[in-house]
Amino acid sequence: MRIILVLALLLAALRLPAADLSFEAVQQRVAALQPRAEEKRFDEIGWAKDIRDAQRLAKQHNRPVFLFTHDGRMNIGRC
Amino acid sequence: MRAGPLSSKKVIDLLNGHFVPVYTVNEDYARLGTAPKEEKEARERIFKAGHAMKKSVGSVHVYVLKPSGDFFDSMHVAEAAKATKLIELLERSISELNITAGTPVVKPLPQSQQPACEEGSLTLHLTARSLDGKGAWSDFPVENWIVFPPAEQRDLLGRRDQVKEGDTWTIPSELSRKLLTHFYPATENNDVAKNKFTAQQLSATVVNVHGAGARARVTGSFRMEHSFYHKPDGKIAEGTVVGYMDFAPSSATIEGVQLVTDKASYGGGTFAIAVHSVR
Repeated sequence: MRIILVLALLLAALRLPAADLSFEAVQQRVAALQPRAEEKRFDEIGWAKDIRDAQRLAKQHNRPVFLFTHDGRMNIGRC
Repeated sequence: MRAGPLSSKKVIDLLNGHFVPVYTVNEDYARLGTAPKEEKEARERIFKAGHAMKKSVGSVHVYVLKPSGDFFDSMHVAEAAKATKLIELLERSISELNITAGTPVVKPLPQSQQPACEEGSLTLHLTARSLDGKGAWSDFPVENWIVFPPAEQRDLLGRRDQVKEGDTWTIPSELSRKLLTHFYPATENNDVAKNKFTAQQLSATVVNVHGAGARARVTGSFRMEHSFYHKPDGKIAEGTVVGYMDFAPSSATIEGVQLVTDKASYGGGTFAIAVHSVR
């Protein structure tokens, strides 16, 4: 329900033609386009800084390391 | 992975409760990448151990290491991207390594962080969002951080220390390009050095002067070639831009920026960009 409401607000904000965009309307559009918490669930994971940090913490806490190697920048979604 | 298993509550709980999760960016670990030598060597040791154990090894992969640091298992991303497959690997690792559940070893923090920059810099946060799911990935919006140091702010403000309503100037093209080169939706290719502008322009007009401060309305447009994958495909990102910039003319300091696109398109779909300043 919350997602539908946010999307409705976003679409309403995007319908305004550029010529009519007041400072407040631009502000509203900027706010509507921001990433939402449910789109950043990846941030709920406690990521170690790098491999050596993860290996150090793994030994210290008797935990296995989960390593994901990837192309691009997953932290900003450009991947 | 980010939109799939790494957004699954089950996977998040398993990782936080039993593992030390870490991710690495291949570009940083390449021969000329920015990761420290010791980090590159640590990753290479993992790859070699995987090869020696005849496990799946590759640059876009999931690896599980024992608490001792020894190699345990791995999975190609094509498999790991299926939540059920990844959960199976995680649960088997927990069981065979006899790991007891606990709290996250590292406190979860937002991974998209404002970059460190020179004092007095203007830092802009950009969000790009597909609006119709066409022509670009649309699982979640993507972000960029763009920093303008103090000297560039002076140029953004047209190098004038006094303004009046109606004053107008064109933002130097190298500065508008620096911002507009990130105006594309989520694509596989994120090498902005490959972007080719066929047109781009931003201009500012003072709409309000109040005491020591002023507000300018910023308008402009862009048209650039940006391939979806790394091979040239002729795809074009284009659109118009509108927004506002609050500034102090006497100190050439930009205090706030809010910008959005109007009718931006790419690859047969539509997208929107939002930019705002972060102090």
